[in-house]
Amino acid sequence: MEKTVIIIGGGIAGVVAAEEIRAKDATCGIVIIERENNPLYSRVLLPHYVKGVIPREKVFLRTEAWYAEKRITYLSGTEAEEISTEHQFVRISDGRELPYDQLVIATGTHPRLLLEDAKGVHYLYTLADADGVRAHLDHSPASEQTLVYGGGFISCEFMNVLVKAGKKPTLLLKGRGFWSKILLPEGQQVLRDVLAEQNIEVHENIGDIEIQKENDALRGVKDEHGNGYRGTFLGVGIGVELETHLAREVHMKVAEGIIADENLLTSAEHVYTAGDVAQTFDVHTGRSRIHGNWAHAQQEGRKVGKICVGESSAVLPPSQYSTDLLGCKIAFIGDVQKEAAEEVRIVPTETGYTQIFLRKNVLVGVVLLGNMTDRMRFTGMLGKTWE
Amino acid sequence: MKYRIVVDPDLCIGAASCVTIAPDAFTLNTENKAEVLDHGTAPEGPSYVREVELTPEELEAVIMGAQSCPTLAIEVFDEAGTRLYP
Repeated sequence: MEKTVIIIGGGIAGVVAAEEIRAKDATCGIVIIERENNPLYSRVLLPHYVKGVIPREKVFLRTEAWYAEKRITYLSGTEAEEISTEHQFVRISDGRELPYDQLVIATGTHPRLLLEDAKGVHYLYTLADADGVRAHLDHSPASEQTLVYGGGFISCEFMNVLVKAGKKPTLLLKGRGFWSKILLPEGQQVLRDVLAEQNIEVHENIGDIEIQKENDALRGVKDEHGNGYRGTFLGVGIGVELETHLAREVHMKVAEGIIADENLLTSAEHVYTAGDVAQTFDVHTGRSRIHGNWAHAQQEGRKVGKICVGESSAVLPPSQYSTDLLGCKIAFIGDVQKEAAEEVRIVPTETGYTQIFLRKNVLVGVVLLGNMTDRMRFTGMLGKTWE
Repeated sequence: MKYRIVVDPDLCIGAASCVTIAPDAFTLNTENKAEVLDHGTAPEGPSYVREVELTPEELEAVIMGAQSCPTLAIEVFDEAGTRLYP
C-alpha cells in the first residue's frame, strides 16, 4: 500500500511541501488540511490588493483545479482538532480520523486579537481581512478618522494603506516606538522622524486599549491611562501567536515554536514541521529560532517535501524580510532579536541607519532603515567574524 | 536558449528570496528592488528586464527564484514569448 503524507496547514510551507512530494513520488497519498476556504494565496500580496495595486484574483498562487491535477486531497475549511503520534492519525473537524505514515505540521501563526470586536476593527492577516479593509475604505468618507494600533510589520502596512487612501491615521503604540525588541532607540527615532515628516500623530506607551463602540460600530478607543482617541477605522497589528497547540497536546518538544532538527524532524517519530511554526537551528546565526517570514517558510516547505521522499536538502540561505513605512525602506536580515545578541550597535554610514547584532563577535543580524545600498554586502557577511 | 526575465518594481518588496535562490540572475538595488543580471553581471547597466542565454539548469534556478517571490513580481518568457512563469 502506498504511504500517506498528511500536511496540516495549507499555507505556503504546506503547499510547497505537497508539491515537492508529488514531484518526486507520483503515487503516494497527500492530504492537506486547511482552516481557510481558499486555495493558496500570498499573504504578502494582501496590502497590494488592499491598496488597489493588483486585482483580487492576483493574490492567488494556486487554483482549486491545481490540487486535483496534482492528486492532492485538499480539505479546505477543515480544522485538524487532534493528532495521535502513537496511533498515527489526525482527527479533523468532521470527526474523521485520518491515518498517516508521515505528518507535516505547517500550521503557521494566527494574529493576536483585541479582547473585543466592533464594526470598523480590522486585522490584515487573511484574505477575508483584506476584503474587509478594502470594503471599508471603498465606502469611507474623506473625513473619516482612522487609527492604527501596533508597532510592527502589519501596522506599517496599515499606515501605508491608509495614507494611500488619503487618510491621516493616528498611530497608537502600546510601548515605546516601533519594534522595541529589535531596534535601538536611535533606530526607533528614524521611524518617528518619518512619521513626523508626514505630520502623523503618534501616541506611545499607551498600553492596552479598550474599544469604544455604539450599536456595535467603532467610535474610538481608550488607552490604559484613560485617554480617548476617536476613530471609526482601527487597524490592529499587535503580533502573531504560533499555532503549536496540536504539538503541545501530544507532548512534542515545543519552545517558542515546534522544535525540529536539521531535517525538520520533530521530537515525535514520523512527524515533521515547516514554516512559521517551526523552530530550527539556524547555521547562519548559531541559534535555534523561528524565522517567521514567507520566503523562508516556502524554502522550508520545499526542504521538508524532499525529506519526506527520502532526499537530502541543502542548508537554507539566511532569512530576511523587508517592508517600508511611508516610503522609508526597512530590511531585517538574519537574527535581529536584541535579547539574543551579545552586542547590538549602530554602524556609521553616510546615509540611512544600520544596526548590527553580534554574538561572539560574529555578525548574526542586520537592520537597515532608509538606505539599502549595503544590503547585499551585509547579507554576504552574515555568520562571519565582524571586523 | 535565450529567455526574457522581467521584474515588476511596483510589485517587488525586496524580500530577496530570488537573490538567495538565484544570485547569478538577481540582485537588489539601492531602491530595495530586484534587478535582473546576466550571469552575475549587468551589461549595459542595471535593468529590470533582460534577455539571457540560459542552460536548462540555470533556467531551473531562475524559475525557482521567480517562484519564491511572495508578490509574483518576476516573469519568465522563452524565446518565442511563451510565458514560463507565473
